[in-house]
Amino acid sequence: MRLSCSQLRVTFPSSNGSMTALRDLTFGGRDGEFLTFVGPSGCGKTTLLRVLAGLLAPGAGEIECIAGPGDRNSSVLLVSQEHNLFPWMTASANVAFGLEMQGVPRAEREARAGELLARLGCAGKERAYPCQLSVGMKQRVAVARCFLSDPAVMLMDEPFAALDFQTRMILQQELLDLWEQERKSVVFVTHDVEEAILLSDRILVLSEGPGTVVAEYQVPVPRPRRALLEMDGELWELKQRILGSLRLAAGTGRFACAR
Amino acid sequence: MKLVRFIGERFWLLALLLACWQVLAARRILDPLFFPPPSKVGETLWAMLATGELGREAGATLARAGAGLLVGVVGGGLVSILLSVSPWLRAAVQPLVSALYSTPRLTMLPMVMLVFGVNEASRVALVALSVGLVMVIQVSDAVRGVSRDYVDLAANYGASRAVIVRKVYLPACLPQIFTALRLSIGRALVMTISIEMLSSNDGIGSMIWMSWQTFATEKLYASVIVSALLGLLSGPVFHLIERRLVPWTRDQA
Repeated sequence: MRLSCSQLRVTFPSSNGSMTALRDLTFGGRDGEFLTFVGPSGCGKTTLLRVLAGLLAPGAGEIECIAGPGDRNSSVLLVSQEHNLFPWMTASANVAFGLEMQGVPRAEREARAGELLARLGCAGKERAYPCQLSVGMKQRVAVARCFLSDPAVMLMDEPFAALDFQTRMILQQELLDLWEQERKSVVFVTHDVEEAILLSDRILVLSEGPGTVVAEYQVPVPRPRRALLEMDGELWELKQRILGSLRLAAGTGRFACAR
Repeated sequence: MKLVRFIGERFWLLALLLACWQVLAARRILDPLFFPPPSKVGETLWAMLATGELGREAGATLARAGAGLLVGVVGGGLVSILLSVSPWLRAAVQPLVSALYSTPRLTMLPMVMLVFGVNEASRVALVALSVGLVMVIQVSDAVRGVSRDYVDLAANYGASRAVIVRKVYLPACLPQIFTALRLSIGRALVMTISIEMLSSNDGIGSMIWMSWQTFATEKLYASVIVSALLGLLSGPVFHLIERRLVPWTRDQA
């Protein structure tokens, strides 16, 4: 898989003419890489993922996603913050939705959905409807569906933002375990710097709207990783540098607005 | 024991009122010609049931309401699908629907009769119109209320337009479609009985009006009770069907 975006620009009509959400955004994703965007709120993170998912056409620029020989599926799938599950489908049917769209027979997709749900600690919840699941369970189901569809790239838009601290930690660990086994290409978006360090191979910092890449960091933590990452020494320094970039990024945005 | 308590909690006031009425009518404090005692009304009801009169009239009303409901639901459903597909058509039809909806439906009976004649077709047509309006308003509302997020989600997974209609729009609208159906059943019964009071030789409505004109007050009360029972009974039966078909709304507060 190769993912590359060059000179992306997205503009929305607004009350005073138009609002530019993304400006000259250029980046490349590597095969099997966990890439994370961090940025202040309103920097166009969600917009970027919607463009990558093909739900929004960019005003200018190029997106190229070439599925590799190992990818069974060329799709780019999105896990968002909420409204991830169809309320009228059971957990199992929700997880199997991607397979259903790919034309996999019912018995096989239900078996595979059940197996993955069990791996994520959701055994016995197959027949439950989303309204009967906790917030954490819902996000597990959403992540499971994305993994099961085996897309070329998985996009994740702050999937753990609505969770309490402990549930978030558990789900982060589950995502780490699952990802370290499957090594899917992931583009993750968050405003939480520690979460970014914990999960990613590489971190890109976005400026406040209009969003563009202002800094890039490698995360030098070996895998497999544990969800309780000690933020000391080298990592503490990395965190401070990223926070510094974020402050700078927010500054440029405000400056641009004032101008 | 639970059932006894359930009945006790709900019906003690009704029972008390009936008892008062019974005593007052028996002692002739209330004029039994105007307010026949409940026991007499009950006897009349039983007699009507025994002679088959009740079954015949209630059957006529139910058949009429059912026919109107069927035509109205199917017609209203089709119109709402058309309106959902074409925003252009919706813009043009919306004012018409609003105008018809705010006109008391019964006032249209003479006009409907001018079109269809003084016959069964007119009665069914007016019930159907009344039901159809409820369907059009509720269903178009439901379609517009479907969250963009679910459509995007399905599209992201490669669903075609037809699949999105079947897997997203239809189930997303189903709860509100059921609400519309429930409202429609009530509306159809009310309309049918009202129309029968004005223009019909059979049905519960006609029976009520005849009893009034011949001052058969016992029969009058009995007929009104029957019309109330028809409405009451349609509710729980429908509720059972609904819970089977839209199970995902069961646990929502």
